[in-house]
Amino acid sequence: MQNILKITAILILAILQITLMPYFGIHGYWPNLVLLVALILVIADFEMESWLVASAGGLILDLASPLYFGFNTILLVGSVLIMKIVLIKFLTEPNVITASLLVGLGSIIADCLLVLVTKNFLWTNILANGLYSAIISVLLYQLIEKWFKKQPTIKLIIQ
Amino acid sequence: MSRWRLVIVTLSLVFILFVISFFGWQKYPKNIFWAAVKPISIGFQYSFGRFPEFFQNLFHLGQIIKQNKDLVGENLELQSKLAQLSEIEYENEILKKELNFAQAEATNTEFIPAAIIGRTTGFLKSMTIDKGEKDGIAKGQAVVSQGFLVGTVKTVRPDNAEITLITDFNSLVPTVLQNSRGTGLLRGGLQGLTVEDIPLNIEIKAGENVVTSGLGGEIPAGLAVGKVVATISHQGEIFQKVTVGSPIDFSRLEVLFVVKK
Repeated sequence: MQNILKITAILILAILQITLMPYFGIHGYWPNLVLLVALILVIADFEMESWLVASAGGLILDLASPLYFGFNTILLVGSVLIMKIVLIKFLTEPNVITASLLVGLGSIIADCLLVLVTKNFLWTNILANGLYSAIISVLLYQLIEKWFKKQPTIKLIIQ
Repeated sequence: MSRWRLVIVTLSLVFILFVISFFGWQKYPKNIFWAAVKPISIGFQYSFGRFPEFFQNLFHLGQIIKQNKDLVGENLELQSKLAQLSEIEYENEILKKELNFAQAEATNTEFIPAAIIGRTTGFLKSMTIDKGEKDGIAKGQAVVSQGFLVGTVKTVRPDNAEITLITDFNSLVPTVLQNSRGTGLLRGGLQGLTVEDIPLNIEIKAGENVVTSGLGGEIPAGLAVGKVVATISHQGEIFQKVTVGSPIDFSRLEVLFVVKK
């Protein structure tokens, strides 16, 4: 039941990305909401959910995209994988600032890969999109931390 | 399911779907997906899509009043030109009859209105429209907005289609400069709209209209594209290149018309 709810939420997220996000674009560019959520989830230690968002969200975006099938999925899964490695190796306790910086950087790298295919390479657009993603990620991170983060619990076993 | 199993299953699925995508299987699932998304997209277009325009109008009220004044003047001027053109057309018809000119086949152009139902990313200059094969849309047809060419149909599905904007790097449209009669290819990209491959002997004037030439493909001749801004070719080049300014804001497109020849 919980998995069905998660898949439905991912489906809604991907649909919002292709129908709603273009209206919040700056000069015709808008962040990839699915990528942002996947990266924020892996930073906030919701690893399984993050893989699910990257996999299912990527497949839905591929269904909507005119690019080669699989491009979005590989981009999202790859981004989550790289982010996980960065977190294990360099940043064990992320906070809102580091999360926002990492997401901004992740968005820039993902955009760089995207422009290799679309041949629409302009640094200012990529950097502006990265900054836009970093700002949104602050809100998303706070939201996830406040509403979904499980507080550490101590179990007392009395024998 | 463990995380690695999920990733392996997804990547295997992607690989299989990628391989079979070459056989054109995607057409029908994509068609169903966009047909399902269409009501949501149109809902957002008529709600959130109106906000930026509303606030923009509020902030630029003075500019809008001035623009309105200019447009009234331009409209009157165009009306007088239209009257003159009607006279010329009448005269032309009479002269054709006098000279026993063969009647050219009447151009039968139909404009099919279409709403934009999806855009995946700003880096990709393409969008999905809510009209497809069932409405008579075919690959290569021109797409206009407010009378100006904005793109061409790239992929057609039964109920929807994908269009490539003329601002895309890969878009190529045969055009002609209306006054100097120089022909060239309209291309998108980072430099903005440019017309390339114009012969060197053509004397180009800034401000002249750029229209489609109708050479090859499904795009009819005479569709307005924009005006010549400047010549950007360098000395020693064998062709001329100009930048073209379009009055259309490609990031705020709403209703489009597909031109059916």
